[in-house]
Amino acid sequence: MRIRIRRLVAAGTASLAMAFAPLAFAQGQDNGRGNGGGPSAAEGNGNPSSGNRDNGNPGSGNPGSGNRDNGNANNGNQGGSAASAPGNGNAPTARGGQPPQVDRGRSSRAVERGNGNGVGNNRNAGSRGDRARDGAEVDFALRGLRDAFGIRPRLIEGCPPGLAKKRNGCLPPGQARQAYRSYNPGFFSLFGADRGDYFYNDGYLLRYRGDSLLGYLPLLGGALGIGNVWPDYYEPQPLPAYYTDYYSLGDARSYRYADNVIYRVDPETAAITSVAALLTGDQIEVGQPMPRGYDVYNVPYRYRDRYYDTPQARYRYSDGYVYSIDPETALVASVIDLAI
Amino acid sequence: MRNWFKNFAIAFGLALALSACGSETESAAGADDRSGDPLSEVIGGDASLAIAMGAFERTGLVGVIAGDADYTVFAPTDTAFQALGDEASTLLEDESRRAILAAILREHMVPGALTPDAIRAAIDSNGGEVSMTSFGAGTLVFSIDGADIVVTNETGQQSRLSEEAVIASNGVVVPIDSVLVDPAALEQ
Repeated sequence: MRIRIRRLVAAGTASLAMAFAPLAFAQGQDNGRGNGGGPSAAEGNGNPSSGNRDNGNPGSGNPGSGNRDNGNANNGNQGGSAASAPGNGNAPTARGGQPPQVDRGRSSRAVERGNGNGVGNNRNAGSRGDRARDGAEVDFALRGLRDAFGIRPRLIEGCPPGLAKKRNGCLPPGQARQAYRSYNPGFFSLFGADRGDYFYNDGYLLRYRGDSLLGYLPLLGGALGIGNVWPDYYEPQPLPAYYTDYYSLGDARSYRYADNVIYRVDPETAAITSVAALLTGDQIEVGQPMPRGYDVYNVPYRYRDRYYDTPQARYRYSDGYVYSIDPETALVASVIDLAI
Repeated sequence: MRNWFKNFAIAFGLALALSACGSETESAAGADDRSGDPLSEVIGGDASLAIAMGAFERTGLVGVIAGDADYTVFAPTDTAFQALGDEASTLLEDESRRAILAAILREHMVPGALTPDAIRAAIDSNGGEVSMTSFGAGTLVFSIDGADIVVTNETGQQSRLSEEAVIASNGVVVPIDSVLVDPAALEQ
């Protein structure tokens, strides 16, 4: 088990330019989950006898691996219609239909990696160090997901191939409104989708506008269900190494990713064999407030002897990381890698 | 010497008998400890959660609760599913609507491991309700109603948490007494 702490120097933390696009979904649900209101409840469980732990608070790590510039990457799919956009637009998206726009190009970050609060070195520690030097994977894996896949559900143009073969697969808008039930994409955890009328049919959300069908979103359990072949329109891409380690995904041919869900697939046939992991997609940044929804101590039991709430630090788990939070400011103080 | 051996044999026999009763023990967190078993086995082994388990299997989400990462599942009991009515049950068993079933399950899952005791402690500390992000349509809000912890989703559906939570190797299972889904989402 490897544990590594990252604290980003405040002056160098990535600047997030959050742009919010209002959304109005068919069901009128308000899924607002913006930042603010950091965790306020702390459960004092854990093992006080653990002794001289540092708890991952600032100062626990070795001085960092240097400033890194994440470059001028541009997600290229923020704003406007995502229909038939090249690339992958199906990545973690802030809840509440408010996709943040991330300006990584101007961020310069000093990454400070701790030594795991006294946890001994273990397997692959050396290779981790190599990764840190090349800078490709030392970065926060969630940011890597955003880089690789974009930040919004990607609407695929046209009628789904499977439905197109059916006589009533993609009905004209008027008939669709009578035949299909409308759903808010947020019901299916698809946050940040373009506004519009969405109707469910046989594992897809079909998006209509006016008198035309604009495209569709394949759904977990439906079009992206067990036994179905992974669709060509979602090109396979390797996930950040941290996730392949943490979720035991194997090589890049044996998994796929879409919309905060990691699927296992048959490497030969690309048929979906199981769902490997769900991600919240919450965008948690050092120096920023913890997003709403982490009020309760939720650190997995096998890490609780190291990361338990104290007056100096609170700990919360999300998507394979433990976050240390300053109780006074409610700001995220550090990100702790948990690699199994 | 003979008495020592007799006492040892009695103690050994007692130990064997206790171990035969199962691996479940009471943990400090006020939940049963089955930390040697994954969520999939804990849920699958609970006769009152058979419908929920079937839903995990049909949607493929069983792979998530059988995996390495930690999740807390607020698992509606069979009685809770049955209370949705026949029409809803038919819909949820419809293969062409499995994506809806998957969405409902995600609404009942949160990251990490939290027990009713932890939720209660957070509510006490916060002086009121607390929230947890879910893998579904938003956050779940927890509050106290009498002696019970009540969970409310974004669309206002509520359920009461059982105190009979179970700690698994990869998270926690907390039975709840109703399904957190907007009935409108289950209309044909």
